[in-house]
Amino acid sequence: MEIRIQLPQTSYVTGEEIQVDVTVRNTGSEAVTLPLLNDPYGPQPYFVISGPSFPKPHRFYWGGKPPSGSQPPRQTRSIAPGQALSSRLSLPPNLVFRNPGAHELYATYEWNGTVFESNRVTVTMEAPGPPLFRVVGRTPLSSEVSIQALSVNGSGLYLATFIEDRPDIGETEFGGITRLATIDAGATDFFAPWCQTAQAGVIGPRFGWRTGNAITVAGFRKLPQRLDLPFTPRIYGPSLMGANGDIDLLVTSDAGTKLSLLRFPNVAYNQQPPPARLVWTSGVQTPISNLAATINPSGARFAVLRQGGAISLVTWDDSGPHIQPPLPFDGNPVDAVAPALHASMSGVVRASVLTADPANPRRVSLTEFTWRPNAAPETKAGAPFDLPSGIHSGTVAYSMSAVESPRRDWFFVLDDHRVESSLSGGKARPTKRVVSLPPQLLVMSQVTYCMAYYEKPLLVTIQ
Amino acid sequence: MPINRTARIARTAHDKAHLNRLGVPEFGVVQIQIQGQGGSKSKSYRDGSSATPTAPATTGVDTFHFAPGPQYNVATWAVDNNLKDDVQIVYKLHNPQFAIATARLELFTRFAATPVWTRDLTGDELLHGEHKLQFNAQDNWDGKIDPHTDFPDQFLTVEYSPYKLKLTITGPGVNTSPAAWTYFHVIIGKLELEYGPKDVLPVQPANPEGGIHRDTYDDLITQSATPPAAGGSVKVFLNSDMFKTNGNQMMDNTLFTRYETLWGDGPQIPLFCKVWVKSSANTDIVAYKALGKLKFLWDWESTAAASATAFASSAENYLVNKTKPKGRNCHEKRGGKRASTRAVFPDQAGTAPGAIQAGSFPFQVEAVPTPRKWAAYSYAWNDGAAASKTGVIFQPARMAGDKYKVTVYVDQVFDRKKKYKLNVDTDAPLTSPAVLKAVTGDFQIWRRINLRKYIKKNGSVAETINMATVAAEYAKAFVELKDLTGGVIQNVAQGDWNNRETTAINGLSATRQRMIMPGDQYNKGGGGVYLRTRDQYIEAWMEEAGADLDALGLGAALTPALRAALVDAAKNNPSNEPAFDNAVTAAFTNHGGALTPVDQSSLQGAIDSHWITVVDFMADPSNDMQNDDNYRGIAKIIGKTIVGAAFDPDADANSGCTIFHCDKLHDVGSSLLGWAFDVTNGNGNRCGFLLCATQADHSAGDSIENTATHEFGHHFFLPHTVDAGERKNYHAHDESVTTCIMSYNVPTEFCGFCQLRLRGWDKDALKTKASKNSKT
Repeated sequence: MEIRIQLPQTSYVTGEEIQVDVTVRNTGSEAVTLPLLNDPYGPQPYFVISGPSFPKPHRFYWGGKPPSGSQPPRQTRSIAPGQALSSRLSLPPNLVFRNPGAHELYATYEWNGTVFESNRVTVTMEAPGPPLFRVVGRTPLSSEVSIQALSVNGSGLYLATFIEDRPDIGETEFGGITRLATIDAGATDFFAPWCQTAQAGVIGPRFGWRTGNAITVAGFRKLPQRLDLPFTPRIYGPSLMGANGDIDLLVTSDAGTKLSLLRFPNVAYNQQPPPARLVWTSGVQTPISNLAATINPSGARFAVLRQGGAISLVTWDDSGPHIQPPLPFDGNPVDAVAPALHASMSGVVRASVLTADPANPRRVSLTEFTWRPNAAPETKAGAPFDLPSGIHSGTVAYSMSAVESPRRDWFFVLDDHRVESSLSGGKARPTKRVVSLPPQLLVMSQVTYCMAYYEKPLLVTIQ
Repeated sequence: MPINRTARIARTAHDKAHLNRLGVPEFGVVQIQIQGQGGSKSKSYRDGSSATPTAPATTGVDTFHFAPGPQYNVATWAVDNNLKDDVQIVYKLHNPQFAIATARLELFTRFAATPVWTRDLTGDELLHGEHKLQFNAQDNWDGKIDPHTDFPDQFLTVEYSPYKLKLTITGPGVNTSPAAWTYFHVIIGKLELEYGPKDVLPVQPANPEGGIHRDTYDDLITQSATPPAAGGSVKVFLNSDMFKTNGNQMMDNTLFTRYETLWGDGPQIPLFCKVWVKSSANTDIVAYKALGKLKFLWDWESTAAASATAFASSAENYLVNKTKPKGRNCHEKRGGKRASTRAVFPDQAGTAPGAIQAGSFPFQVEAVPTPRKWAAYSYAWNDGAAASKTGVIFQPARMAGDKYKVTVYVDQVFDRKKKYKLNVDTDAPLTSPAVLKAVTGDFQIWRRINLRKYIKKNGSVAETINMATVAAEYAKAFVELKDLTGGVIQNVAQGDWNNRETTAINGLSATRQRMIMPGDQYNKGGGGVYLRTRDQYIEAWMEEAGADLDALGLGAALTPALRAALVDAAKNNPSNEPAFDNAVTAAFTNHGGALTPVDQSSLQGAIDSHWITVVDFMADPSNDMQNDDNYRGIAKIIGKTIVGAAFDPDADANSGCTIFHCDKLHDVGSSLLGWAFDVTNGNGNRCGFLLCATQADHSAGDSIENTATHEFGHHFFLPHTVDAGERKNYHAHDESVTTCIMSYNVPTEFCGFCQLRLRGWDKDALKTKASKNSKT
């Protein structure tokens, strides 16, 4: 019996899926029957890794937790002499590389009481950069896909995935990150979409960035779609991806005096994308200081514009925007926190704006605006609360799902480096984790998570 | 001392020698006694200088007692006119010369200078010799006196006992014994505790979660018709089918606040006390007019013993000897009633004697003033359905594990300042004759959560959770997981299972539906849902290439053999493009001889497109199928959706828990042992637990019972322990314990913090370090 391994790539970022091609060859003279290598109930193979993250060699079952043996392998195959069994296995995502550098990996396969060792290969872990995540929004009421986020590391654009294992208790599992595309040098202002659907399919989320006056959108095997603009755009929030894969992005001019809609039509795998276009540009009297946008499962798209001391609801079609009369709010808007926006299935739109007391910038409050179909908008000022420090960066978010009674939570990273949330009981707390800025908040069905990084990407229950 | 008397005599003639003799009349009271049934009598007293030719009787006792007034028949607890304990007032006068001018009977109560009743003897009542005082021309006296504010029923009562009856006489002559008196009592025969009727409890709207006092009452009565006797005990079960409705509630104090909302200051238990009066014949009878406004002092003791778990024991050890009463029951700072101003015997206005009114408590109850302010006084009814009874609403704290002993005392003795003897702050028991108190055994508070139903997928699910093992773990926290299944395990009907799964599967997108293994899911075995492996999924999708080829509409040009060969080319080479290309080429070579170049090109394009679509889709990380691990992740998501849908309609409609059980969630490598299942419209009072693993899936020392205990723990608001690599500082566990059942380690038992939360303690008042919860 002989076992050999090889890697499709040799360099990885922390959390990136490490795939290993494994071949087990029957070098004997008789046929042998073996479980498929990727059989979840097969007892083999194991891997051994050593290096900066594992000063002592660490042995582990290929799939993580070894099967209990209570269930036989699902599939076996007869391997004739000289024939081989091959499979591409992914190392378990709970294999944490705390230190960058070259690691040695080999596999073992036990047959008839003898343990066969494979050749050695080198796995090089790159030093992690500052974590940058952008959550993929999924507004549908039920989802068939994992929680996903854009992750940027060096020149790579990655997709980080998480499974909400236990919505009831806020338990999540990191599913690893997978490289999607290479980004342009000097790229900034990364954005991810809010999606009309949450189903698997050939229309996957695409992500974007800005390079000077150009905005580019790309995805897994979705070639870059670049749009050069005659002005330097400001990007505030998510793009909106419809069920057909077309992506809308609202941007403003640098001064905030113009609002523009950009469209990036859908593109198939490995196909040249159709051209992106500037659909319209509309001037506004009061400069836009921030905006938020969302899409609901029926495809209805909404945005709110924060202009001075007021907020406006915007809908649009290809002819231009329809901006409703502004609704004023008291206090000064907090620049470090974007408006929060939610659209329910029935088309009720809620937005929240964080404002500060002009006389006491640390005394803040949330004002909520509600637009119901065929009804006058409502404004509800929240009770003010005091923060121990200024807000360095923060997020207010509603339920991801397009429910009719959404929850609303907030999470602030304060100037003193502590964090405070709507569920922390009015107390700021230190944290060892690195929070991606602005905080990526996921208000799920039962608990609310914040995306952070500590040895690997995490979804942390806010409290 | 000279005595001056005026005497008149006849004059004597001067020649006569007859003699005038002057005699001074003497008179006095010889004795006064009360004579009861069976020869009992009181003792008569005079002062030491009194003397009469006839000496007073030396019989009689100071402890003479009788029971004034009408009586109840014990069996019917209604008036029985045949029952009476009449006595006779017997007095003897020395009055041979009719010299007694006035004679007055006076009845005094304790410390009283003025009598509460007087009666002047007249006429023949003053004659020399022994008399039996007549009442309504009868010798017998039932203890009735004239109207008096302290005796509204006009009968002598225990309240003012003992009594002194004094006979004082005056008249011309020598009063050799001006007064005699005797003492007698109206005393308690015994106290007897009972539960009051359920009707006196508040009428509450139905609440499936619990909090209904009458339910707790019914349960007590089921255990025993009477309160536990001294040395015994009874469990007071508080229904609390309340479960978390979102994950944050495990981290915060919702368990405490919801339990507080549900049970407030605790269950209300009507404790009544029958009061018996001792008759002159020394029997205990129901003399319901003979109690007056007698004070009954209700006292409680905290009798909980130290918990076996060190953390819980340390938290209980909080000012144990500093509080009044002392003890280990939950201190008010942790939500309990020890040292609290929230009364264990709350004040009651009471109602007028008569019929017991539904929803109203009959007896007046008031807090004892300082110093024994945690105790309460109650007063008895003097008529009606609860005559000769008193009682309280016993309202122990809701905290499970707390233990109470209740004693009712007759606090009848007071001093001249009206300070009652038992109103002291000394530790119980108070010094009191046994006859003047009644003591219960221990009332121990338990939470109760109902297990309503146990459902398996089908008969292939061989293992069964030992619910006694699970219940035993909760019992350590004084939570009864009450098994109402009667040992019955139901199977989901085959049709129901398949229909429900089909409905759930049809709700999935096509790319997820393809994961489902075709066939009768119910008959495949005890697993939840049977899926294709990732390889099988790809094979199945590649097989669908045939439909793409058919859609080209080439008719007979697409021969079955060519179609099969092209499909096989895709199916057999899902990850090897050159091999796929070669196989396609071979298919055309071997079976495509009749094709036109255009048709072959169309077929080539279709099969290529299908193959690359499958390959790209499967590699796209946004589809979560790029490897087996991600595929298993999606299998878990849809598995929970499908299996949950198959079980959910069978959840019991009543409040409480339902267990669902299958062997595996799915068959492509599920490592999920089980989960706290949220049943549809659970409303916070219905929940489920879905076990989807076997004993063999558990680590050594772990078990399906532990998983059940763990997952129910989540429903019961308990979070995981702090993980090693992912600190979650939600202050909900004993920081020194790594094997709490709520951990992912091989568990031992609930840590003390969990136990105290389950018992209803205030999470916010507890520290995670055991020693910080203790205070002496």
